[in-house]
Amino acid sequence: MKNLRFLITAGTAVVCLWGAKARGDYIANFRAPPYVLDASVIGVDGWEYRFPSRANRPLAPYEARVVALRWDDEKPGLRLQGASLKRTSFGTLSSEKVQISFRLAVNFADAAPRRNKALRVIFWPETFGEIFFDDSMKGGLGYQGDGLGKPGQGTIVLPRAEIKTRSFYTFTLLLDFGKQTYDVAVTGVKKDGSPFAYKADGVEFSPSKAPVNKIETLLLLGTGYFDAFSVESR
Amino acid sequence: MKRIASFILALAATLVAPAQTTSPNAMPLAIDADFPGGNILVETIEGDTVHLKPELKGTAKPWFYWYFRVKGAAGRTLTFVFDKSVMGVRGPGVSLDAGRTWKWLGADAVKEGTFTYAFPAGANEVRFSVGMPYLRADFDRFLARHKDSPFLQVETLTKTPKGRDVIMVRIGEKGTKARFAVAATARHHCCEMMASYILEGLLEEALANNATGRGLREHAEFLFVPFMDTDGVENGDQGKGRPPHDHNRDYIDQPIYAEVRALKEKLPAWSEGRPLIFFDLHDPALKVDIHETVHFLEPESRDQAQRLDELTSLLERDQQGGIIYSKQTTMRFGTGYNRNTPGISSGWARSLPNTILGVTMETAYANAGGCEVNADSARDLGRDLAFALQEFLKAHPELAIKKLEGAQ
Ligand SMILES: [Zn+2]
Repeated sequence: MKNLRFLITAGTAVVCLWGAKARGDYIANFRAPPYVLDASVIGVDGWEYRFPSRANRPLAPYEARVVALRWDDEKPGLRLQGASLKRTSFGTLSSEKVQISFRLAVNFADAAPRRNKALRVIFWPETFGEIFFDDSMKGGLGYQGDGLGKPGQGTIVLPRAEIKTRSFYTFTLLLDFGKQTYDVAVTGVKKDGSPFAYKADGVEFSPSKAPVNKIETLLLLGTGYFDAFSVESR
Repeated sequence: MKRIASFILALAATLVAPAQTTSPNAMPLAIDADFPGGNILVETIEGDTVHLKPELKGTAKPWFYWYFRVKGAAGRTLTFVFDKSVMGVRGPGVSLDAGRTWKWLGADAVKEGTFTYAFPAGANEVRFSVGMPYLRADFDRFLARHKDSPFLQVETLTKTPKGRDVIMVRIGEKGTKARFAVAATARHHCCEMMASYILEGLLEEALANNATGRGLREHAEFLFVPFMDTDGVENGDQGKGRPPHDHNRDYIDQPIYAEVRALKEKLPAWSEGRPLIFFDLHDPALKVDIHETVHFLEPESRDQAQRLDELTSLLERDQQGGIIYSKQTTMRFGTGYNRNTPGISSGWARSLPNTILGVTMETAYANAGGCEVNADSARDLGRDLAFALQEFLKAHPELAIKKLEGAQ
């Protein structure tokens, strides 16, 4: 009976993956091949250094590594440490609506705020922009349209003081290329343990830019944890 | 004379505390330190204001350890006045469960060493301390959680003058002899309790049934002595600077403390010539400057300094805990207070022919580079150190071979 249930579950998973792949979507959960525990993701599944010269830095192999997360029951996740990497070629996302989702976690010193964005997830073209952790006193987890990464800009959804460190926040962006808008949803747990949820619908793509109809590039910059990334046609 | 006077005053305060209670039937206010680790001198109680100070208990120079409980204050708001030199940067540790778990009251609750506390309505007993006290009972709870572990062996290193067992823990795979020997000690200075949580994290990972635990046990056998001044810990002594010298100045020809005498015999015998790594864990001072960081004291020997550099690079690279460690904080040999201090444990460990790294690790009480040091984050730092150690051992099989060749 147990085996049967396993087969059904496994079968469903295969069908789901097959369905997803058929639409040219992209899923990276860092828990299965081609990802390897304790190894860099550079050179794997389309991830590369944003600037090839960075490959020569002594700590380069460690800036984007799949590690067992000791604060998350040893589950594998992507650890970013002073990272600067990119991924292009998101397949043929033909539909007008595309959903992007991923999980982010940060670890920062409470009393030592910096004045920059410590972790940035940037989509190019940058009209629907950037998700970030702004490590300044007035910063926090947030998003902004232009992807310019200027401190103090963008919408802070969870202030720095309320962030639970080493706890994943799930971000979901539903892009509507027809309307040139996107919906943002963020869920997780606050520092005090209470549930956190944020939602904003119909956020306009940056109006100063030309209309876009695809995702070209993802950049991951800075320090933190990144997991369960998917890009899906809707 | 003054000491006796304040003791009597404290005693009087404990026994006949003013009955400023909310209802005539409520328990009278009582402040005491009559429990393991307890330490306080109550100078005066006037209305809702209590003046207190740490009891030096034989230590010559002023030190900052204190730990007391308050009973009969439920629903009241009391002000506790200390000298600011004995108050940490996140205020006092507060425990509502008789010292099992702790939280910092917070820097905002303290002004110049004085804090005010509103006792919750149902709180019959609240404990306060300069830190987050860790006693034998805490370690016993840890051992109870792991009592079924096949890798754990609990032994007695020796007995103290007061007849207490000095506990020693060995961890390793049964039936195999690991190539490396790793030992760690804490509480040579008995008041330095935050180091105990780091030690617990280290033990936890050495026992763990995960990749890190398996990796550690594959490469090393472990020996831990969690309370190098066992009597001092239970008595609530300061310990640091204890005359004629304290436990961490006792690694001399004729040690005066039972624990040190026993470890000086046990460690070389147990290590059996295997390459030895030795950590001695401390919390050297309450606050300010380098004392609000986690830092290692660099050994004088170039080889050992290099190994420490590698280990701390791994720690910096692979850490995942709430205390963000930076290896920039390493205190170079010959700088600050990192000198050839006679009689210190890590110096003695380094003098053993099979030691490949002997090092003192210094942790802050409440603030490490902006990160909150507490029981959880200190345990995580111990786990991070264990992970880095495992990486280090894995990367250096040649150190084991070299030592074996040297021994032949
Ligand atoms: Zn010490």
